[in-house]
Amino acid sequence: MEIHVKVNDKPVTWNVSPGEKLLDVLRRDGYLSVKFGCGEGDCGACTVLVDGRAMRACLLLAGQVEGRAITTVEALGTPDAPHPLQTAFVECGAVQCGYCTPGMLLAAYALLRENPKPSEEDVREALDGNLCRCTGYKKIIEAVLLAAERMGRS
Amino acid sequence: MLPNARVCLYPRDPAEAVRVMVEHGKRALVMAGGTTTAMSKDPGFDTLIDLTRMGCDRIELVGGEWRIGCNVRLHDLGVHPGIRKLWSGVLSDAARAVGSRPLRNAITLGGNVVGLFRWSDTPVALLAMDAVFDLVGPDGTRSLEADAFFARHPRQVMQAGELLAGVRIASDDPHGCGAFCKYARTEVDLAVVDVAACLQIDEQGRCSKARIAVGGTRAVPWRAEQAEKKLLGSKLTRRTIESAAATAKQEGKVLSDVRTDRDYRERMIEVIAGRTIERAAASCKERG
Amino acid sequence: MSPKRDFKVVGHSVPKVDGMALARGGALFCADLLPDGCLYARVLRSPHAHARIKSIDASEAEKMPGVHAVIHHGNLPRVMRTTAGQGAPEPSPYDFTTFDVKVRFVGDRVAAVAAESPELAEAAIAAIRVEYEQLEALFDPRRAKQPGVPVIHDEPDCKVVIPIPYEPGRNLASHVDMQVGDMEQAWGEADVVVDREYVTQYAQHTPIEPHVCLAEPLADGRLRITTSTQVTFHVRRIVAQALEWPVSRLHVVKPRIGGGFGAKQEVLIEDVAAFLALRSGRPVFFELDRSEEFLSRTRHPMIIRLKTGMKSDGSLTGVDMDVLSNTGAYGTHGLTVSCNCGSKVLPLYRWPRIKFQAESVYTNLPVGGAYRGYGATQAYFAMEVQMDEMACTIGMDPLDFRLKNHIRKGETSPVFKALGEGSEGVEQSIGSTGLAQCIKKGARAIGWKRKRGKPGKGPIKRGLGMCTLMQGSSIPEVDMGAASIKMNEDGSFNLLVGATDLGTGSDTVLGQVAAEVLGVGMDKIVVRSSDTDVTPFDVGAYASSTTYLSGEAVRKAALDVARQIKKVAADMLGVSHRDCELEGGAVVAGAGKSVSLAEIAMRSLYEKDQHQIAAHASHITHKSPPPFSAHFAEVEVDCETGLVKVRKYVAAVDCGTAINPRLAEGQTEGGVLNGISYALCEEYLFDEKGRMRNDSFRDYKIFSTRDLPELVTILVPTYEPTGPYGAKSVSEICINGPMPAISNAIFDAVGVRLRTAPFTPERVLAALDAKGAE
Repeated sequence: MEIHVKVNDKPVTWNVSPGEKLLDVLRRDGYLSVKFGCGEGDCGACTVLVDGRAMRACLLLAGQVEGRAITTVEALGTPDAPHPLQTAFVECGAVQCGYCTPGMLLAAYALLRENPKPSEEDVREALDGNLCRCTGYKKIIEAVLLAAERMGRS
Repeated sequence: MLPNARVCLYPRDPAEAVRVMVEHGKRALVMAGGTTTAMSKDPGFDTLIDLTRMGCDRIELVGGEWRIGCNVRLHDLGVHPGIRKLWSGVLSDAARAVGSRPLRNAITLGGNVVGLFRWSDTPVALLAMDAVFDLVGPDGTRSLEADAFFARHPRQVMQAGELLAGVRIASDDPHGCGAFCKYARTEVDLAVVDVAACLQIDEQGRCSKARIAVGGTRAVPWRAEQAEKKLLGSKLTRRTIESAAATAKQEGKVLSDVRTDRDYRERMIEVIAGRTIERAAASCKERG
Repeated sequence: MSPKRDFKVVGHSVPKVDGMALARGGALFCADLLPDGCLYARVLRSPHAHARIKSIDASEAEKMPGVHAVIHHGNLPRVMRTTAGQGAPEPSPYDFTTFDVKVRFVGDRVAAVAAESPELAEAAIAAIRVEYEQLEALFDPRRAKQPGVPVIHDEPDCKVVIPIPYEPGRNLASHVDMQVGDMEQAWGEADVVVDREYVTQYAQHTPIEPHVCLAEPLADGRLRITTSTQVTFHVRRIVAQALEWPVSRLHVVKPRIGGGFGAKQEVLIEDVAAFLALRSGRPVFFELDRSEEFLSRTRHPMIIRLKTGMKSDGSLTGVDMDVLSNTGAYGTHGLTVSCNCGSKVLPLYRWPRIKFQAESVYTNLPVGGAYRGYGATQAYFAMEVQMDEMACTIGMDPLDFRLKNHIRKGETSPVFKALGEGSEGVEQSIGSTGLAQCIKKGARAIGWKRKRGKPGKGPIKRGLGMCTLMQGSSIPEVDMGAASIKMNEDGSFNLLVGATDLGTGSDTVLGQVAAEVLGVGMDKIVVRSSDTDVTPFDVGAYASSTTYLSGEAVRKAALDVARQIKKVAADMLGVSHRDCELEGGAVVAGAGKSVSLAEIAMRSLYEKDQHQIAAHASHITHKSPPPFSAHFAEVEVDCETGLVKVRKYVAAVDCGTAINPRLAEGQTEGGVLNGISYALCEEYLFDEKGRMRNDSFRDYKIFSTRDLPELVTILVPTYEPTGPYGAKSVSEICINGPMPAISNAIFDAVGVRLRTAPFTPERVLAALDAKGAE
């Protein structure tokens, strides 16, 4: 069936089975920042925003996102002007292997939109569904707080 | 991936949802947040029914009771200021105890209740709070009290084509307090044991009402009725609470699973029930 | 070499060279690179722990439209080898072939297919009919060598390729022992002898990106394998061995990889994709799902008996360590992981007498492999809990006990020579150690004197524990890393290294070394790594080698390039090359004389005596200088539930010069949290048939942001004379600390010793019950 969505503000029509996973549809459509990690909703590598909220693309069927707005990391910043979160992640050493990074960034982005001045606890809560095995999370949390501070100032 | 799904339907209200559920019967996969249904690979489904477009997504205080629509997402429930006060936040604490943030963003209250797993957190709170469950079905609407609703698995209690439109909870009694405790191995793990306690204290400081619900240990959450009896009429001293908790441990069968064995889980019922009742009693005392 | 030098790039936390591309979600990983017409591979796995395959009927699968290849033991050559991903000749037994007639654990390979979609591949797998003869299974490593138990490798062609003990008929995958001094004397002289057993569990690396690869037949008859690996060159050699091809026909590329931690040292999936690609003539993509990832490779579970003696003043009289390692169904890394129990652990203290014995045995359970820490993790649990107990026995502060007994600069240990990689090791003395500083600084940061021994009231008790650690840096006289550098028109350089960046930041660190020598910023260094057609050789990312080993190769190549640059510059400036220095993107020859690197490059490429300024260098090491570390844990023990929570964790690390301090901290923090999670909750659970019961992230929990305690990392700089700019390794050491430090902290809090890991609430509660019953 035809599924009409907005991906990164661009209207898109998918002609797919409504029973396909959003993760597979997005990747096939070239949104390769959305990663496969477990396919079972436990790791967060496939996190996308659906109407601004962080969700698992592996736990959403295509039919469920009809009419919704989907955001992937491709929408954050540009090569010349990265998003403050991206800059902070790189500066703080929050990126090691980078496989969890797009999901982490989106979860953080959603948090900062609803809560521009999060506490460390708020950050931990917002990122608790995104597993990372490289960093021990410390520098990821620091990066989100740094980005929030910078965005608050500008 | 559902290999044979051809169409997804988006009913605009509960009546329409019931109509399409009846029409498509077992060939339809009915989804709310979709976090459990998305894993299905069942070739028998040719239709999806997305329940999240039919409204029922509000939290309202109407005539002395809170009405929570089935499509309220757990994250919203967890941070709602009114629900955080209701019975000292028993339900909001339970909602925040569920999984991780992206799951709480997706899972609806209706899905968490109707798709009940042994470790589901919000049903435990709803049972302790004595919530009322409003069902809409092919034969009209009906309401069930929590005890009846959780007598068996909700899917067995509900009829074919019936859906849970929302729950209602009497707004807070000035003497009513509660607590919810989830005990799990890590912060983002399924519960080993959940306990929710709702207590009322009379003018003399005695317990006049007690509902203690336990989850994580059987197919459905259950009330520790013998423990409740120990609390009723008492002043909720440490000793009474300990004795009630010890009683709760002995109330019926407990399951083992990959998380832990039966003995440990039974022992945790006592520990967590004790702590939950203590916390509820403490918040009663704080209120005076 | 002076430790005082004021570095321009080294020692600075420059951003990772690939950081922004990753943060922008670039298509950089293997699964992002699928060509059109790609097929999907899927493996049929054994439902039985031990069985002989009586027959395979794949005819139905072969007939399915869209299925392009089906492979199994009946249609592939039998080439005995190992998947271990080590240098040649490997110290792991050749007990594996791509598909065998026997299956040896639940999840072992039976057959594989390539089909046009993942679903079709799944359906094809389901259509393969296999008849098994079930055999009695062996799960208990303690029983492995007993007469009459099932023999797991009864095939006549399994063997070892270097002269080491191997007795598959007794399920013995490896044996190693050493002794220095008379142990009777050790115990006779001792006032206190402690003899304990420690048990560690099955655990997994859980890289967030599972094992994944892509095999593409090329027009010229070669095959390109793009794979998420730590050992690009070993993949080429080992897949060539499996295919019975010359390595020249293979091109192996490592893109960005989503974590490895040792799991991706194993050459575990590339052979399957390669065979399927050759059979089908199509590109084949093979990605493990999460449950398969759990059955890929694991940390060897061990039973370690440790006997130690000391005098009442705390001086040591002797140590006897006996390791029984469960290598599972195949012997990969069995010998070397168990060797490391001795070689990375026993030299830390000045034992006058040492006895060490380690065996790894086969069982019908998942396969052990390389995992960050590599045996040191398991053995440090035993050693450091026992050191704590010994100190407590004589009423000495465990911290002072370590300060008294740890190895000093200039000292050696007989263990270095006695234990190598299946042969003798290499003698070395300690060239640098900041361990005493680590202990002192860490103790201050955790509040050791102030908080220790104060469990507090109520059901939740607090405690502090500590431990000390060392590891190594590369495998001396075995590992080799190489680098080449060439200069471009704009004064930039291509740095080509065989070394493998698995997310650790080695591309950045190696770039920093080159930039430091060449007097340029990181923007002038273009790093390309791990491509067998393009870059020079490197053994790959394991044994904590890249910074120390490959870093020195880069430094040597860069020095050669610098010499060539100076020669041209000297000619341009009319000075002696001895007066030239490289700095700020130019050659400076004092008194205002300078010429930019771009000018030098243009001249050398286009103008006079035209030549490519370029060099390559290789490096092997004659030492494996240990990094040192002191770890401190503050825990809360809930005496009613048994739940242990770490509140604060301090890791003070001496990794020599931290080439990139932020990346060194990141290695430490990642290792520490992985170690905490391993100590407290990570554990494989099996049913009575040997099937893993918790093969998902839902049931096998690794720590999330909400489980993270306060982490403090303290880098204690030293200067290792044999490392690039004084550097040693940092990547593995810190995963070893949490298990003993937490066990010791639990003892401080509630007075029970946890010697079986992980410290689950059930185990802690049982220990408390046992203590209460005393």
